[in-house]
Amino acid sequence: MADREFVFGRPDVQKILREQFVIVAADDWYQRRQNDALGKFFRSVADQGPRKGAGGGTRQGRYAFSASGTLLGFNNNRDPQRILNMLRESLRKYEALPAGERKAGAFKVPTLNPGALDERYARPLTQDTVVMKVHGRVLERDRKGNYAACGEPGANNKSFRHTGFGVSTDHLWLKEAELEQLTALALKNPQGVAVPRAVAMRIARFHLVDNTRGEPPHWNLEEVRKLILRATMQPKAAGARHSTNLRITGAFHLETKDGKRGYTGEISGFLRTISKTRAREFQFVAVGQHWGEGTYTRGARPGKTPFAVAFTLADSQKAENCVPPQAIRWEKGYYEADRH
Amino acid sequence: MKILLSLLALLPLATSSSKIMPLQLDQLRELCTPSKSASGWLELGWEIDLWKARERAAREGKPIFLWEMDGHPLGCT
Repeated sequence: MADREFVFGRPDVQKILREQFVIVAADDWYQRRQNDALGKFFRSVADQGPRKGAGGGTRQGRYAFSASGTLLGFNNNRDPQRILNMLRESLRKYEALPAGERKAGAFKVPTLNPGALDERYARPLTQDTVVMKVHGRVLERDRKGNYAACGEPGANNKSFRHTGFGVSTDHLWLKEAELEQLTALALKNPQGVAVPRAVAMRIARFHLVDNTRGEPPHWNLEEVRKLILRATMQPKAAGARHSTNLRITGAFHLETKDGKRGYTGEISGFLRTISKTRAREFQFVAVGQHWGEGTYTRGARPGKTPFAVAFTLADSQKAENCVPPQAIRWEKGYYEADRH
Repeated sequence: MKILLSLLALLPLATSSSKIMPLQLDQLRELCTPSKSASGWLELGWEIDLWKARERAAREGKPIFLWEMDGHPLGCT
């Protein structure tokens, strides 16, 4: 998140990236492990730099390289000026490469069959997956007692450490069948139904987390002290454009055994189907009091403070919405969150 | 007494339904949406597949810039 604020939010960095490079973002956890042509290519580039991932360690950083695999530059610093210097130097090195490595269409990239990817580390977005954008934010109460933003992230240009006041991003993956099952159940039970346990636990354990200052710890099964998530079919109003209209409500209490980290609050939202198009409208929000921090989320505000997480249906045609959920590294554990 | 009983009858409904009102739902969703200025970096045309980026770079005659983090840079935090 600090990179977004201090490096990629800068117009001069954006201009050079947009105009002079093909830009790609990836999760090192997968790429440094996957035993296929893609993983091997990445490691062959990274190994030309300082981060060789000895003992399976991280290779994270910012790399510039040619399609042929020649490393041009590396940097793992949040100082935008150092990034800019690295980018300019990389362009100079690129221009000095033989024409066969740099001219448009000169280098032939071998075809990569998606089926040849190491399936232990491939997380493709399948047709039956529903993507929800998940944004978290620490909040405060204003004079009237309403929820309000704590302030803008600010430009901490000395340490390039962010305040954690910005909005975090992750993705929730649901299956079409899970939503269809929920709607069918709610139609049969007008008094309301519990959201299937696997879905409710997936949401609570992996997405009701404070990831505003870094990679968060998720909740284990025992840390889910209370979880109620219900869907209730709303009566159809005259002239309504929805064929189904489910109200989503819930309450949760998540807390570590030692009580040092927790999140307790409520959930509210809706899942609707538009009559004409069969398109969905789906969103819900969790809000409550959060306390504590994890190994990579240091700097939490002291005590119990307001924190919200918003879930909104995302357009899966956009590349940035196809990024897998952070918690899906163990895919079975993610989808069967009620069991493992 | 009748009034008290009526109020007691309403109690289970009041405690079982969420206290987040529709207005708050919209407000909270808005608070949790990144502002245009904070999300401009997302509009740069990021690829999320290294191989596709490699193919595009070869086709266009451009170098590749890879932002590689432990936790996906376009998600995770």
